[in-house]
Amino acid sequence: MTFTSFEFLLFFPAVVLLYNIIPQKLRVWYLLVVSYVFYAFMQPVYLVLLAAVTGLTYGFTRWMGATDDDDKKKRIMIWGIILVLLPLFFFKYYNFVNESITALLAGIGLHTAIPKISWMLPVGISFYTFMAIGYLIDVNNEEVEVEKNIGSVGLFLSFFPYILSGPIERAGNMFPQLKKMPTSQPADLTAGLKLMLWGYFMKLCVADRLGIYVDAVFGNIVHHNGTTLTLATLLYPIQVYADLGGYSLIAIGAARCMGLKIIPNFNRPFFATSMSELWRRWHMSLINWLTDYIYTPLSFALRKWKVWGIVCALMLTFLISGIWHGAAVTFIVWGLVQGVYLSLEALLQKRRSSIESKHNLTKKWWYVLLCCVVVYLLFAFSQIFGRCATLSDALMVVNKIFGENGKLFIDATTLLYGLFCFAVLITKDFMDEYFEGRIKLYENRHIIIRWVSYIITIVFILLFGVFQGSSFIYFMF
Amino acid sequence: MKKYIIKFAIFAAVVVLVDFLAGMALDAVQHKAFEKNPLRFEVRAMYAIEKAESEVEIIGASDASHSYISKMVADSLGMTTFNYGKDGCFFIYQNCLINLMLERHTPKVILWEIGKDCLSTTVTKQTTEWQSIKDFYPYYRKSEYCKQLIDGRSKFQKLYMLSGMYRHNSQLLSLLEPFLVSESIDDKSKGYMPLPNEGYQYPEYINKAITYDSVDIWKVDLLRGTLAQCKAKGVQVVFCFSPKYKDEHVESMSQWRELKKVAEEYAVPMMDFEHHVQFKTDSTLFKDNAHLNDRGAHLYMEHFIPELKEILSQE
Repeated sequence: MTFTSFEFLLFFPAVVLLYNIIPQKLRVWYLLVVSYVFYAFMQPVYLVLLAAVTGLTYGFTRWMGATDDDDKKKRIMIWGIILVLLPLFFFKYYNFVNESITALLAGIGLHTAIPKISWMLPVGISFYTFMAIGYLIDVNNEEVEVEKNIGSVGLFLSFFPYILSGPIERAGNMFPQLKKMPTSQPADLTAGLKLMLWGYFMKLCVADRLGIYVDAVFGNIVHHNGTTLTLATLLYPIQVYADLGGYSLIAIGAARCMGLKIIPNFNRPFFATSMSELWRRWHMSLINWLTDYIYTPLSFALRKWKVWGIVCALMLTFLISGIWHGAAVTFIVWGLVQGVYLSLEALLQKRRSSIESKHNLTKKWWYVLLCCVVVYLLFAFSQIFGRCATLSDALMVVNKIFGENGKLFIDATTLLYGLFCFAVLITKDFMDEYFEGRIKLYENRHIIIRWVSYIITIVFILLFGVFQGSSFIYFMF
Repeated sequence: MKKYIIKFAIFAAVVVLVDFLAGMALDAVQHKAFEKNPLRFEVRAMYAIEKAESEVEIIGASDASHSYISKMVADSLGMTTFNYGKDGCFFIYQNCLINLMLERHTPKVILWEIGKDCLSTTVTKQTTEWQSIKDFYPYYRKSEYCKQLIDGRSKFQKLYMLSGMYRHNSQLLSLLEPFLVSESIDDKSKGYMPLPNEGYQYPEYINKAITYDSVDIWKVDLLRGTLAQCKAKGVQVVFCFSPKYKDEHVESMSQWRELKKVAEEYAVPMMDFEHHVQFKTDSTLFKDNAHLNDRGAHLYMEHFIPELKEILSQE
């Protein structure tokens, strides 16, 4: 059962209805059971793993809470993190490390026979592992209190709206809410359903529609020329934004229907005028997690190296981000490319600011547009490494883009529908970015305009959405 | 909260009403669009179901539409011929098309470019296999066969089909095109769609086995049903396999053995040119590994038609 399946459309209202009927003190346990049932629809056997990570996180945080010695607390935290990371390493990275070591040893004439594992990756493991680690660190830093209710810890890690693909929540945001477990108010239901509706539009009409073209091209790189690959490369970031952004909105909206507020994940990323700004708007929950737990401590530790310390911290942070995305050389390259972009920006920041203020560039629309376009092109280029299965495929794509022109492969229907729906999406984002509050549709004070807006969105979904199509891209992480 | 629930219920009722009215309007537009230009590629299924009158009907996906020259077949056999092949429309679509066509019209011969791995479970699970079923949504309420087949797509398909707008999902452009673009399409080619002979790189031969080897029992039953229907109506079906510039070693797979078994059971002749020596040694006859270009199609017909005549004279 995924958010775009019909089962979910039956499951979700029933969950919300029951949530509001049962007594407030039982709601944590109720949602915990619901979340485990939801996860069981995907991969029942890995519930054991989820429960084990929950148990470890709960146990280690309680242990830290019972310890006054800061050094001992830190050691407990480190052991907790290692144990929580073990399943992630085992399922996601074992084969990659094994193959790399095997290849390295074969290069010096040593042949090993370490067996591979061919078990499926537990869905959501990257997300709940990071959430567990974040909680362990926050307890160590005394930023959150230790949660004594194991049900709350279990629910924090397994909450069905965000377990599969995020947002990566924080203990500090969720635990206070889980203590209250408010009854749904009409305002919550309205706000939540609006978010879900827009999320479905993004996923079904933009992501899945453009995905038909992008997946067809990237699935057959050998037979497509540079012109076609260029178009697919330019469309891919839109597909990812609409897919993960859409999923996030559905997750946030679903939680909101139960009065729970989850952190946002995207903030109109295509209006970023620099790569660092892009990364403050794109997959925000992940980047905030990396900033708080990796980048900030690292840059502090390396502060003596001044700007080079920042560069090192950026490179390492994005290397970790790449590795988090996947156990493949392509993701490592992807992460390093992001690191290079941000490092160059950091090194040139002063110069850029000086030129911008000298000529008052940031107020000029053409400069802002130019920056947005350049940032988009750089990001789209880096996404080649995130999209391709192997490094050789990615390099083939790059070579073809810069060296092989040809007739563009056009799937007219798919592109027309997809680009039309993207135009609707980007227009909304544009209005929200530069004219916030000027034209209100979902938030209009007249009920007729609000209802017409909702109905038009539903019409778009029914006429242009891709049903029974692909799963969410970030399920594979 | 009570007020909110009432508002929500009213909103839901409005949505249902809009969906119903929009569905009716789109049904009417679809019918008008079809009548305005029934030979358009997008409405090929509708044309086959509502207007087909030919004695020989060619059924299949893109390898059918680009390989079988209707005029050559018609001239040789002395029977009217139409190529109803449609790109991206595979086994499930083809079965539905044949059964719906037979509800109104009985051809003498069906040349079916069926695909050697059409009975594979893996292929059934691919989204492309089911997407083309949309072409039959207009007949969902008119044909019990069509309804049963479409309902089989998923557990909740019956519920999806209640929506008037869902029935026209991804069809809006196709519905509006005849009104926006004045394009007259003649039927001189009788459905054959030639691919260009040059202006692209000829393919390299691929010799790589497919990795799936499984039989979908549901598809076998579907095929049996279609062949039984053809037999009952006295239609001669011939399974055809046009030349390809690749070898996927399907002949060693269980889905191919099952297909042959069913063909034998229903006395369906099989004309297999997939690995014909004259084609697998000449890449200039192909647009890509799976499709003949126009020159290739002509050469194929020169081999295919005499053999077809022999088979038909024996039957």
